[in-house]
Amino acid sequence: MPESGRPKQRTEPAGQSSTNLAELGVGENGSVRSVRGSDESTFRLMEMGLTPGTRVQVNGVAPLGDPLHITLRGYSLSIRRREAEGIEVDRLA
Amino acid sequence: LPDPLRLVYSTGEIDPLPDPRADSGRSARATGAAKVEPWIAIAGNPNTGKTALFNAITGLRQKVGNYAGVTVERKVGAVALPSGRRAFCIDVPGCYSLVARSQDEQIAHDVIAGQMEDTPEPDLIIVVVDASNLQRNLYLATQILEMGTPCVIALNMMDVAERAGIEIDLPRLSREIGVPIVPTVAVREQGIHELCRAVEETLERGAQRDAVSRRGWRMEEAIEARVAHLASEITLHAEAPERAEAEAIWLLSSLQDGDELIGINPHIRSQVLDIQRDLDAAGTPFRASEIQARYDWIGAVTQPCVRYGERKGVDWTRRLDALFTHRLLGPLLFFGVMALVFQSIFTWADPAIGAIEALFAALSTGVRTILPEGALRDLITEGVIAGAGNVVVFLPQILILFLAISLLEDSGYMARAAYMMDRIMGRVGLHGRAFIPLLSSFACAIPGVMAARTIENRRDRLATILVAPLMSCSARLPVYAMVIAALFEADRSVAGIFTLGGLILLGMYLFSIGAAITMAFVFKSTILKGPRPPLILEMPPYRLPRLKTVLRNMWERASLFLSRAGTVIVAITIVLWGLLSYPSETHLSRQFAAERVQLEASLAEDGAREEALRALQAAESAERLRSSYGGRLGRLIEPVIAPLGFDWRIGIGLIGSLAAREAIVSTLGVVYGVGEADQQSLPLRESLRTERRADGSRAYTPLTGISLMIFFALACQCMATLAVVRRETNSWRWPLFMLAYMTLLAWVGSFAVYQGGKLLGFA
Repeated sequence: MPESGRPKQRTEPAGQSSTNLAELGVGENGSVRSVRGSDESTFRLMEMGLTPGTRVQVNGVAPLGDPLHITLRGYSLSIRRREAEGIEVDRLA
Repeated sequence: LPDPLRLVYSTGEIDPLPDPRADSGRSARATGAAKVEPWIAIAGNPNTGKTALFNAITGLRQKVGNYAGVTVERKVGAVALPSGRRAFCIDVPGCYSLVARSQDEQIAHDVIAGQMEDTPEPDLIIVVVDASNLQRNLYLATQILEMGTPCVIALNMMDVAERAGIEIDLPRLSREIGVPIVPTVAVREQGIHELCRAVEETLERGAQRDAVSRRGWRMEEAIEARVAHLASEITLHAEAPERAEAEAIWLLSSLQDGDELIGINPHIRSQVLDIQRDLDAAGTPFRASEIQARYDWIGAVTQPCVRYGERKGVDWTRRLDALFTHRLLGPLLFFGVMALVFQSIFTWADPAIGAIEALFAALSTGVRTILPEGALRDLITEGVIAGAGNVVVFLPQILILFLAISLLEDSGYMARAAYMMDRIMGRVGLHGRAFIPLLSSFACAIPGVMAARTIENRRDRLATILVAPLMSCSARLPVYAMVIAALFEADRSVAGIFTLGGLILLGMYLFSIGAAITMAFVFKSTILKGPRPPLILEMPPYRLPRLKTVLRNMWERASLFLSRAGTVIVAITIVLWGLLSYPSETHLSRQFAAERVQLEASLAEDGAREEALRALQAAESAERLRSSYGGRLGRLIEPVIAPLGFDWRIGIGLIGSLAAREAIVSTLGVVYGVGEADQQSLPLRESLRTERRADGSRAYTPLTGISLMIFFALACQCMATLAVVRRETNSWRWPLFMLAYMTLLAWVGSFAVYQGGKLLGFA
């Protein structure tokens, strides 16, 4: 796996549990375990850098509950809950 | 300040840009030596300052057009290289990946690969990479680098990276990637000279097309074997062997059942689909393997070259996001911002619009005093000058709206607005960014349609453009005002605080919103149906917009409107003037001249004579209009509009209102012989109220009034809208479709209201 994200974020897998990106709370971190699905949107998200091993943080949720605002590889992205549900992550403490 | 319009659009100021069509991609490669000036493509992710870099390099020497057959804009500029040698520079549409499913997405790949019909193959590519977002930006860079064309990387936004605490070992990164890297801050024009020098050096070295060595990343052997096999097949079919491997990878990522890509060899296509199926069955889908391999390589290359330190100073983006996307304050601020945008185009443009109208009226009067009476004078004043006025009058709203849009885009707020609106707009199948075009259309559909260009997805953009003219624009207001004042008790108080007139007006606005939402839904589930693209919305850091960029954007939009849509508007104005003024019946002239002489002889020179002469003048205008081609056309369409409750007089009004909706008021004024009229005109109201049919019943009842307002709410009575839709969609197909669907919708709507109302006993 490549060294992804910003190294100042800790990478030790302490207290990890498997879930999907949409389940992470605001402020929580995760490490992408796998990206489910083989449709266009899955690959578009991977192209944006959501590949296995990448660290993701949920920054916020839009006022109406969708989409999500996430940070990965040092930049910010907004994706819908539906797509986020297809991204399995290990919750990082 | 130099006048940008002259520099940009008059080819006399600069050397004319070559006609790109004369020199198509593949053949340019074959006859490479014949191309004197090198072509440089500038490619990169959105939000990397790519446009700023393009502007910094080319200055004001640019030409804006469209790629053939698509709505994507094509910008070409001229560059003076340090040695004085000239080059041409083309701005590749910003994208996160070269992988394409649609024709719009295919453009970036085709321009870079030299497969674009109207664009020569680039001799060099400047890859713009955001230094503060290196990994994701390098993803696109890997795809471009392996195409084998000589590249220079412009590592832009060095200042932002520095503040974020990112340190990059440039010489080492350049060695690792294998191409020159020049640090730049494009918005401040820093590093531009160095970049141009690196470009020229690379061009002079005639850098080898060494695609294979540029691809540092590898996939599993089984997949690589399939790529190699496909590449050898491609070499048999195409002329670019050194690019075959990159093409094979691009095809394996892009092709799928139902893609819209063009110009793909059918034999190769079926092979690609076979390989994809095999790899899917083996549990190693091609794209997943490819993307992972690219990012693995990016991680390996950047790790020894990049150090992430502590951010210097405050992280404003995080703080501002906490405010602007806050659960309660976010939407409140959003509505505040939108109210400001709306207010500015609706009200603040008014003084400028009034001044422009007065200016053109004065010009018209001036010409009238100079030229002798006759057809030429009328052509100039009522055709050419009025037509030019019809164009220029839109400028205040366009300039103000694009001022607002530039500020919102450049500051980063637009992405936050789309983020907050995505849920609501998604309900009707529209993109979050469709909010501003639709809101602007309340003032005028022209800037609204132009604002739709901020929506990337073609189907979403078209749906927004198609429904924007349904939003009740300010030109409908005089029509509503005239009808409400003439046919309703507008001042009657309702529930104490409202008036009937106000409520009807409100009803028309709500009706227009409902119509736009309904039609957006209809289009998105029929002709513009497609899988809903995933929302992949980058939230760029907040930035202070730069005055130069904002002014430039405003001017670019305004001048494109003047040069492309404006010509069509002037032409249609002249045609309409001809329709409403010819044939000029000589027996009418003689008859009225005789009556005038008689009046002047019989009455003393006082107020009564003045009055009688004015009445005669109005009667003559009415008679002339009725006998004109337009007047005859009005009678001709009477059977079609009679079921809506309209007679031939309104028919003439409808034809006159094609120039602009509010023109129906003045046209009806002429038809009814009350002379110059606006929506406040009491004689016109009186004529509408007292007009009788042959059977003695009132010609205009409140029901006819509602029918007429519904017609105006739904019909596309605006040639300027059609002209601007043509410019934005790059074909006549969509404006003609818009005219057809809106006219049909208006007819059906009015028919339902009028006939339904009659059945319910309203007369």
